Amino acid sequence: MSVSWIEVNELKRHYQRGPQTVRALDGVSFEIDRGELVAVVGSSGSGKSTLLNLLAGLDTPTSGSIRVGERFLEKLTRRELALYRAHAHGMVFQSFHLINHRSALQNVELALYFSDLPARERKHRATAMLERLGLGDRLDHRPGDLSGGEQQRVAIARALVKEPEILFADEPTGNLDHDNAGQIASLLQELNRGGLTILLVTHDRELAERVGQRSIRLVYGKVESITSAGEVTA
Amino acid sequence: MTTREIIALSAGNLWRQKLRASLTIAGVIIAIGSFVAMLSFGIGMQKRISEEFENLGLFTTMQVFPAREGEEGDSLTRPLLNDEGVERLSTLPGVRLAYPMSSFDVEVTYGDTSFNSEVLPLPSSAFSMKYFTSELTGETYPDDSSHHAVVTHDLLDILGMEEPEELLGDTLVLQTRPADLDSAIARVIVGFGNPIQRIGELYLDSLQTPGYVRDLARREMQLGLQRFVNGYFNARPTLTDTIIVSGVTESAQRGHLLLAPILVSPAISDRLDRGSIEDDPVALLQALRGGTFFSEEQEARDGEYSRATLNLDPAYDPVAIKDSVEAVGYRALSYVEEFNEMRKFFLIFDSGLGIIGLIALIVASLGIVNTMIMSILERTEEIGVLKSLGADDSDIHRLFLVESGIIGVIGAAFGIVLGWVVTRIASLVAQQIMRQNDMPVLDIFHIPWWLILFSIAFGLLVSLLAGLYPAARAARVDPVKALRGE
Ligand SMILES: Nc1ncnc2c1ncn2[C@@H]1O[C@H](COP(=O)(O)OP(=O)(O)OP(=O)(O)O)[C@@H](O)[C@H]1O
Ligand SMILES: [Mg+2]
Repeated sequence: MSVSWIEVNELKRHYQRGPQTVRALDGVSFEIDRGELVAVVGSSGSGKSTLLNLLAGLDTPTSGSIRVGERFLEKLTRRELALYRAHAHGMVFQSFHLINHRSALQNVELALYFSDLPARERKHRATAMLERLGLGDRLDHRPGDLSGGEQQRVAIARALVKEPEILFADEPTGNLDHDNAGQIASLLQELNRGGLTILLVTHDRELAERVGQRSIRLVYGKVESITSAGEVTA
Repeated sequence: MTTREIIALSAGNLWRQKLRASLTIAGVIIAIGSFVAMLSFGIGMQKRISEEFENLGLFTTMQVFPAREGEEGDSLTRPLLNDEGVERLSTLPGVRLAYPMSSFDVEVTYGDTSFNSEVLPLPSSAFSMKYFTSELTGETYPDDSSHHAVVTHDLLDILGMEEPEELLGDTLVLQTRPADLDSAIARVIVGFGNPIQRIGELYLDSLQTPGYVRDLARREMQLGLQRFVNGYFNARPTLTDTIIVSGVTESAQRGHLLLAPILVSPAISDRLDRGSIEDDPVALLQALRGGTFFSEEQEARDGEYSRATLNLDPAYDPVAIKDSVEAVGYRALSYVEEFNEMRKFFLIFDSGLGIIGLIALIVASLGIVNTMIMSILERTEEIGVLKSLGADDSDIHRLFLVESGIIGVIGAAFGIVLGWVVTRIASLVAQQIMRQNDMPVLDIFHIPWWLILFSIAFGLLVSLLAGLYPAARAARVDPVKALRGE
């Protein structure tokens, strides 16, 4: 059996709220192969975002381990973790998290501040990425002047411009109308066909079924089921 | 992130909040401006004084006086400040030259005017000291037998002249009538007429009344004394010398000690200054009555100078030289010591001024802290984004530190300009007042290069200190919380 690309093992993330322990993640294990598009589904509060943040190296688990390629995240230093965030993955959020006072181009460029590229090359790559996502005529627009779908595409451009191995998307269509959501879903599929590994968090079952090759269902911080596309969910 | 990217990001953030940033920067500008203006006043004053000292060569000059009586040990061990003493002083380590200073009075005739003035003999070699030649117009005299003189501005004042050039090359006639015992006695004897005959007359006429003889004898004694004094003054030969004014030097005031209005070569003084006996009539009569006219004291102290001036080697510590002069047994006045005292005063003065500026800077730094914390609250999401994109805590820390540092540097740069403008205006006002009060017009403010660099460094340091807490807080922002929800 070949070794998988991402391996999550007995991952726990507990929050202490006074005397109460919130078990946001409580022993999650799964594997993801390179080039897969995996959907993480579950109801609100089931721990999807918590899982994504741990995988992205923005949060540290209470216990358990995450391996991405050769990296065991829990063994990385702060600096190495920052480098992992800078190079290994891109993130897309439900509320875009674009910086409002910066233009689309500047927002995308920002992702390259942590690579050693010269300013010119940064600008060139950011422009090319925005053009590829159909925003070539919106380079100098502020996020506030763009539609939701366009904003999310800028966010995707920002996530992809550093040519990451994985894309973490947390409810990328959550704030979009049906048409825009559909466009973003198609874009993700297209990117995946191009070889990008994608972990897509959504509570939109339809979306998960449409684009996901597999779905990981979380319930109260535990994996309830992992289903492959075409399988009938119980 | 490289430093360049961090600076670009920080500057961009400040630029975005122009109004808030400029208000904060204005606080720093005012603080640094007042800091610069205050210190430049203290520094300017100090500079003027040290320039004055430098001009007069006071750093390499020391005055030596004979020890006072009853001071330090008995009078037997008290060394004389005579030629021998001066010679000895000149051999002390660090002493380049030693000059005796003893002035005498002459009658000066210039054209139609005559007046009395003091004259100070000075060897031509003494002119190697700035002390004697500050602001010299014309030339000094070339050798010790020269018939040239250097005069001070005080002589110009006496003559009612404005410009030194008016007097250069002109002739002064110096005249003294030194007192001379021999000539005085000779005069007394001549004035007596035929003394033998007169005594005879006395004897014949008043043999019977001894009281009358006593009375007469007393009258004769008084008459004799009167004649002596008369003779003393009248029999003095008149000594005259003609000198040419070759140079005019600054005012007579030399750090508390007066320089005579006329400086001449030793050859002239040898001729004119016999100075053996006191020639003030009152003092003379007192000396005669009190029997101290020919006293030992007068003899013993003969040839002693009231002071000597030393030219010091700048490489030596003046305080050490002073100690060695005092060890010989003289009193010494070192201007360096005086200057150091003044320096101490200015240090305290400057610190006082600096503290006022510092308080303003502390207030400004609170403004910086406030602005930076506001900035963090507004930009929590942005910090989260930056962290998700690969920034680590130290990047965020630097980003905010640089931001407050930029506030400090811009504030300091414009603050220096403000300080400069303020001092220029204050200087103009001060100079106007000086002019109105006929005071010498000076620029009492000075902004040296080091003050500019220091102010920028200080502004930067204070702003960085002010930024430490906000930066640490920004670095601690939890990206998960920052990116959650809306
Ligand atoms: N900092 C925290 N302190 C305490 N509890 C937390 C904290 N962060 C998350 N939780 C809890 O952890 C659980 C999982 O949260 P998470 O955000 O991962 O859910 P989610 O599946 O992403 O939900 P949604 O679909 O609404 O985004 C929730 O019950 C939440 O209240
Ligand atoms: Mg979530």
